[in-house]
Amino acid sequence: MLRYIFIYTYFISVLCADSAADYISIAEKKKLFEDRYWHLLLHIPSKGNVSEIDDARFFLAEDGFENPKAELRATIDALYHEQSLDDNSTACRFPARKQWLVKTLGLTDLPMVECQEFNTLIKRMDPQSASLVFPFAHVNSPASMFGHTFIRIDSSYESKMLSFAINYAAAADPDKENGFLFAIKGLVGGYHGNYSLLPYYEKLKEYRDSDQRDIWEYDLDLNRDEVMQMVRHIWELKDTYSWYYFFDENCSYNMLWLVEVARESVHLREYFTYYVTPPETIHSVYESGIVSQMHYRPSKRTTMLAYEDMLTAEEREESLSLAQGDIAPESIVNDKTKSEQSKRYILEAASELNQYNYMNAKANKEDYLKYSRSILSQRALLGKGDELPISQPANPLTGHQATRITAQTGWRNGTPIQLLGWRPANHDLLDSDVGYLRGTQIEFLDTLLRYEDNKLEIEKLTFLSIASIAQRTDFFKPFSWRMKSGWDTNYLNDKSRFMTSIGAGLSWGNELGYFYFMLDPLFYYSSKFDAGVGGSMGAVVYENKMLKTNMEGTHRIYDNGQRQWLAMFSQNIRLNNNLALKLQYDYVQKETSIQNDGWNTFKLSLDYFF
Amino acid sequence: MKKLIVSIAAVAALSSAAIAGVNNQTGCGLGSMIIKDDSSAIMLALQATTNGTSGNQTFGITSGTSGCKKTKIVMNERAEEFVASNMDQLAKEIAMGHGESVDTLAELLAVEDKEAFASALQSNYNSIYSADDVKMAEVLDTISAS
Repeated sequence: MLRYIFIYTYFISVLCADSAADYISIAEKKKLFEDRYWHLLLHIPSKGNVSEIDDARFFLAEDGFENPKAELRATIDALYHEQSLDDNSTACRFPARKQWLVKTLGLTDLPMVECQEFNTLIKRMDPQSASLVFPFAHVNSPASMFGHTFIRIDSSYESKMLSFAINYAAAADPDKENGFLFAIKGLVGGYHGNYSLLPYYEKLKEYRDSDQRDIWEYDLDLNRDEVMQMVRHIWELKDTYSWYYFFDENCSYNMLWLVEVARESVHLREYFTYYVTPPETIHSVYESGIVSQMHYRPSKRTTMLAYEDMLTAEEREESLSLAQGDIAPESIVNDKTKSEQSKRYILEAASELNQYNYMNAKANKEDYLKYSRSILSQRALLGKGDELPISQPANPLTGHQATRITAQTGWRNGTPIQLLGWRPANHDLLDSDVGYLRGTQIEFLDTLLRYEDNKLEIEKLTFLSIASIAQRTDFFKPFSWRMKSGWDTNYLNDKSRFMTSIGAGLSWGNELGYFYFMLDPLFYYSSKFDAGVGGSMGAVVYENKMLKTNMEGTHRIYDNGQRQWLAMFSQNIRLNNNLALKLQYDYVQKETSIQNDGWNTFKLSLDYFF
Repeated sequence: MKKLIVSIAAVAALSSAAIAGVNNQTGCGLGSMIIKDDSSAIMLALQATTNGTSGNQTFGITSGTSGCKKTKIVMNERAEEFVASNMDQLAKEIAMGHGESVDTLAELLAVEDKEAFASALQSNYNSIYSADDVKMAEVLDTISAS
């Protein structure tokens, strides 16, 4: 009898035992706290146990940010012992964790919760598929070459405008902060990084219309369940922050977590060791094989340039005058010498220009609205017409990758020289422009070492160089500018010297190439300081996609009364995405006491990008 | 160290930059887009280090129509939001008789024949945009009445 009572009590105690404790012990036996997916959910990088999320609200255990085991315990425990059954419950705050634990441990008898906010989000978003979106470089802002990436969650709607964008950015307010401080804080982690969610059309207005950046969309081959899990995880991150670092823990890097949470078998973050640039994340995602389709969206600027191509010089003048209200749109419609299609293009271009003027504070709102309505009401009379042909530029995926190593061999004034170079980022005017925005350059720490006469010397060490050689057209009148800071061997003596220059100029061109004039104030510094100014004329010719020729001649005048000629010629042969051959000739005039004739350098370089 | 070096490099590059403001306007009518003056170009270069464009990024599933006059005919909220946010683009595409925004509006209003819808809107351009300061509610009311 006693024995039965004993068994009975034992049985009861098992039934009423705390499920949480049981599941915690099962989870620990299975070593789930070491599971890659648990670490993904907690944003713990491959090495170590410390999460990249810096916000205590993201963790349930006191030491959860550095103890995945404690966090696992705390999560299971909290799911069974909910303090509330509404939006504040653990299940509602951490739906991705819950989903994974239910699936992996077969959790049963969890308390019923009502996640009103989350359900509203899901109902509105209707997540079906996802894409990675890459707004391309902004003209005249080479720094934007590093770009930006965000994830778009697509719904059942056919129109992608109704999708939602998941964005990670530094929570900085440019209106309130000193612009200079703003840039620095972005670099060194002085801002909180936050996730935001916005309708995709708002992002289009921001990048395509306001910033004038072309947009590339990469559809991800994720199924609905995977996308749902991604959205659940985004929900967990919603109110949390991490310190934002421009170079590694940036917008693009954080998108990679989301993709890996959606599909565990994809490894993306391992692709990077040092810094993560948005174009490189596109490469990593593409190489992981989950890109199913790619789409191109022209920016407002690209659209306006396409109109320029379709119009004659006279018609472009008419568009410009219409946009300023100088002529009446009726005069275009009533012009019998024009074809219907020309009339449509003239009016459409005028409407774009009018909007462009307004968005760039060159027209007031009243005029913008007035001209807009008068132009468009005339355009509406002309029927549908042809779609504006816009040629799609090379996909950024076909561009060279960020890091370059180069091996060069040649002669300097008859003496053989060998050079080895390394550049962590990113692109210069001599590199192939395929997949890049023409005329833009941004280089960090470009290093070139020279071996000559058994001596190793610094040929060049560029800290930072930026160039934006932007072509002027009838519709756009940008200035070109460039800056450079670092050591080079272009001064009059034969040593490398530290120099800085910032200059501006003008450029014109067409599809075959462009030419430019630049005026570059500069100074050299070593033991003494020499200031000067250089005037340059240059041209870039595109023979075809594989061949590109650069040439530039410069005359410099220094404050010490000396003058100097420099010349450069480079022929780039693109062998494939990441391999190029370059034939180069450089002339640098030197002080006659050093070299009568200056330096004449012929060299052949092999550039490899990775 | 790596971060420090590059920070200094960036200081050198950007030290000549001025402070600029971006005038962010919101509204339910035409012309409520972001206005940037010339100095904003410099700002854009600086913003590259944060990828931030506007300070107050929200986690919002709606772009909002809270300040807008309501439509007379009961409409779906998505259509109202969409039109309020895309007034300028829509005006242009309606005048052109085609475009992604017009197709999107057709889908939101559950219109089957998008081509006919776009063409009908084009013919009615002057009644839809009867004044310079037309608002979302009037646009949608005219569209659904026609």
